[in-house]
Amino acid sequence: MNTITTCIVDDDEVFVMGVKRMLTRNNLCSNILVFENGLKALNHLSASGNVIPDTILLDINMPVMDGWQFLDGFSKVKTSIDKPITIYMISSSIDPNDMEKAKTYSDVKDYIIKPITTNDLQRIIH
Amino acid sequence: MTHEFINTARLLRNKYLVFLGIIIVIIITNIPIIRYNTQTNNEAATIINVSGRQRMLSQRISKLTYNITTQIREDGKSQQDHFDSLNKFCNQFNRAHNALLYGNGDFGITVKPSQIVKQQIEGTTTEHTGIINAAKQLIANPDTATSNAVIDTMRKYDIQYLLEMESIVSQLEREYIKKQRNTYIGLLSLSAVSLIIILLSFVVIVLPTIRKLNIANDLLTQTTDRLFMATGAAQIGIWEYDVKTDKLIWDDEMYRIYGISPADLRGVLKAWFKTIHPDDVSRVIKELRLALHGKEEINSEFKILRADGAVRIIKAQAVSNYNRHGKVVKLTGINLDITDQRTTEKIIKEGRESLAKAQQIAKLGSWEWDINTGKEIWSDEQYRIFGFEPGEISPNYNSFTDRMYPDDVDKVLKAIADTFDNTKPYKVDFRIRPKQGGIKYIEALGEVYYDAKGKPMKMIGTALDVTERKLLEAEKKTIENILEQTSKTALIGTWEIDMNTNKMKWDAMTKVIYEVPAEYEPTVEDSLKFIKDDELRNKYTAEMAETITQNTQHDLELQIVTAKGKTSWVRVISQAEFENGKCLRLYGLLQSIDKQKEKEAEQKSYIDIIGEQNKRLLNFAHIVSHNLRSHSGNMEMVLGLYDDSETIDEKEEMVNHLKGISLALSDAIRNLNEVVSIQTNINKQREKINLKSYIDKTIDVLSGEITLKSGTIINNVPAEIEVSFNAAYMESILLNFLSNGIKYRHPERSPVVTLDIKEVDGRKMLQIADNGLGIDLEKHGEKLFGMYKTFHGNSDAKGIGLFITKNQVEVMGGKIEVESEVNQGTTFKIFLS
Repeated sequence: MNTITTCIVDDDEVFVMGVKRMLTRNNLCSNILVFENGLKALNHLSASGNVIPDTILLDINMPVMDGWQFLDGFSKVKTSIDKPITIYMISSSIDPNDMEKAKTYSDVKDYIIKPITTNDLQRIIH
Repeated sequence: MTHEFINTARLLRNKYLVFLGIIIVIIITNIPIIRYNTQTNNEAATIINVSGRQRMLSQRISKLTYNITTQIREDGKSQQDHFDSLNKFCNQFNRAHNALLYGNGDFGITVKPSQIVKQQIEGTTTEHTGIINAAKQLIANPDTATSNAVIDTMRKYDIQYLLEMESIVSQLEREYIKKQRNTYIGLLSLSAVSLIIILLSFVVIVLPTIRKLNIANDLLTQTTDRLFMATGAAQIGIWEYDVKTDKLIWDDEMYRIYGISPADLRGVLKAWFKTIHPDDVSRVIKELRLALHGKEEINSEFKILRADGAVRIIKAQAVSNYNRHGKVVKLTGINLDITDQRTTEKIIKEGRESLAKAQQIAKLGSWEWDINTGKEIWSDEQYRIFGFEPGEISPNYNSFTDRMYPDDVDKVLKAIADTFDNTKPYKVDFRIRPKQGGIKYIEALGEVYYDAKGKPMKMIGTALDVTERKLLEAEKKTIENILEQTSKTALIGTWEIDMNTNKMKWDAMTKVIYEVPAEYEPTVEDSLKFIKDDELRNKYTAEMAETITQNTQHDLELQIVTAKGKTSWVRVISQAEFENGKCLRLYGLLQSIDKQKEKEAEQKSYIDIIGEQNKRLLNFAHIVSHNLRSHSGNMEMVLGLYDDSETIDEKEEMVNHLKGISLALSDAIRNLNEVVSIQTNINKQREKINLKSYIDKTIDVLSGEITLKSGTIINNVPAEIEVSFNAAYMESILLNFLSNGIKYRHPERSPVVTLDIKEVDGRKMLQIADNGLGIDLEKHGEKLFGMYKTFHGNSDAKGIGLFITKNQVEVMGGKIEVESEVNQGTTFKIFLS
């Protein structure tokens, strides 16, 4: 449990703060990575020698590169990553179109509507 | 027809003359050539001949010289005539030599020899002169010494000369053969060319006319045949009498009518008179004489007595042909056996009764009015139509008018009066009141008959009771009126095509729809031209073809261009009528559906507007859900964290976060409110805005920022441009685009924003171009104008500006287009209405 790394990709500072607080308070993981947009996260994952997370909490609406574009980019770089990564979409959008769209990405395990709770985090991070 | 034949024949004669002319020209041009060639050949033969003779002469001279020498040797002298001969031969020998050498005309030689021959002849000069000189010497000194010397000289030159002349002759012969061959070739080609010219001119000039003549001849034959058949069928005999030759010519039918043979007639008038019935013969002869004197043309009836004893009635007519002195030169006439016709008249008389019966059935009355006596005869049915028993009254002129509707009297009287004026039969409708009451509709026909002097003699007419028909017609008319009214209201016309004649019919309404005049006569081909374009036309013809072949019904909407150039929508319903698997008739309806189309278009525009509204509403719902939710979600989360906080510091931190969230939330609500106000502010107060001054004002507002970023804003909008727009929106739009242009500048260059006004399809378009970062439209294009969309990671980008701007432009009826290239810049095109 101590070796689990969780990655948060979201531009909402308050959300990032909250999730970080919940993760550390409940000792859900040992390492937390934060990126304010998809591009920064993708750059981290594609560069060699970086810490590769076990779980990614991905927002949809972000400047520069949004969640969908990140997923498109991720499907290209994942072959060079020798570790399974579980991606959860975490969004405030309750638009059914977004939920349907998330299902079309095989890398996305689930779609969670904000606000995320400690229970949610406990369930998805082992 | 005959006329054409004669013209063609005359034309052919003229063409033959032209053709003959061509042949003569060819012969005349050929003769000198041939003659020249023959002459040259003859002259060449003469040269050879003369050359040959030279050999003979040289031998004669040497032989004679020998003889003289021998005589001198034996007798001491020689005969004088030997010397004369020698002298003569020498002269000839010399003349011929010169003629051959110079072609001086002597011995008929006018041609100069060829270079080779000339040289050869010149080569013989020594021998030639030697021979002559020797002979002359002998003549001058006829003694033994001289003669011996002469003999020696002769021997020396004679043989040499013979050999040389031999060579000349064979050279001449070679040349002659060569020349003759050339002549042959020349003449051969000449004849070939001439032949070709003759053939060509025949084909080009004469042949077409012969062909035409053949056609004309065929037609003439046909016409003659037809005439022959016609006269044969009508049993009309034709005769001709030539005054000058006193010859009578009959055709076959004449002989058949009279029952005699050509041997009986022998072309003699008297033989004809013999066949005429004794009762009539003197009259016929008299009439013929009058005709021959040009007093009166023959138009007569007479009886003939045939050899088989039958009496036949003949009708005869003839026309007189005059010469230029006005004398009759020929009579051409016809004879017609009318015996049977006369018999028919008898039958007709007997058939009067059945006619009366027929009249009764047909409700057709007839009457006869003797104009001179005023007496009127009515047929039985005529009485009945007027409500009388046959013979109940004595009819007169007034019997008609008395029973006539007063309104119609004038019309009928006018029709009768017109008949007297124009001598044509009249037809008139009128109403009568029969004796027993009620009303009857009458259709009346009448005609005036004149006597030989052209004076009106009597009038014959009929009256047809058409009451039933009129009543039916009135009923039909009423139905038709109702139909017409209906089709007028619904703008429905009818049309049909008769498949046998391919004739097309349009009713009045169809013509109205096509905007053609009432007298327009449509054809199938022309009707297709009204269809607007080929695609529709092909579709239409394909469906029609299907209707005709498979008896299907079709209902098609088409766009037509009417005769007056108006584009119009029509609906064509087509149907076929089949009999025994064959399409007899194609017919259907034509409806103008412009009104429906207009309504459809109107409905569609409503749907578009509603769709657009819907889209905005959806967008708005999405914004509300997404943006408000994100803040409320955060609030919920932070509140949870607050509850779980174990320290005061931590709780205080969460409260601070909550403050931040609540600020962001109220921002979001304010923004949304703004959007809502744009959407609902339907009054969209427009006013005249001077675009340039608004831009300048915005530049002024932004001047601090512009100076700070060393930016340049180029306002190319002319001062006179005014647009109708909401003033507040315009300020907001300009502020947004100009500040964006500075904000998203490229790090490597000073920002430049250029504003231009253009006219696109009659709409004013404000173009704002910057040289900034640019946006990857492929990636972000769809989201560019979305709410809370930011693209460059600028910390002060809120993602609300373009969304609001777009809403403001669209609410004013405009639209925004964007072109951009990353690192090059962005151009926004704002259509202001």
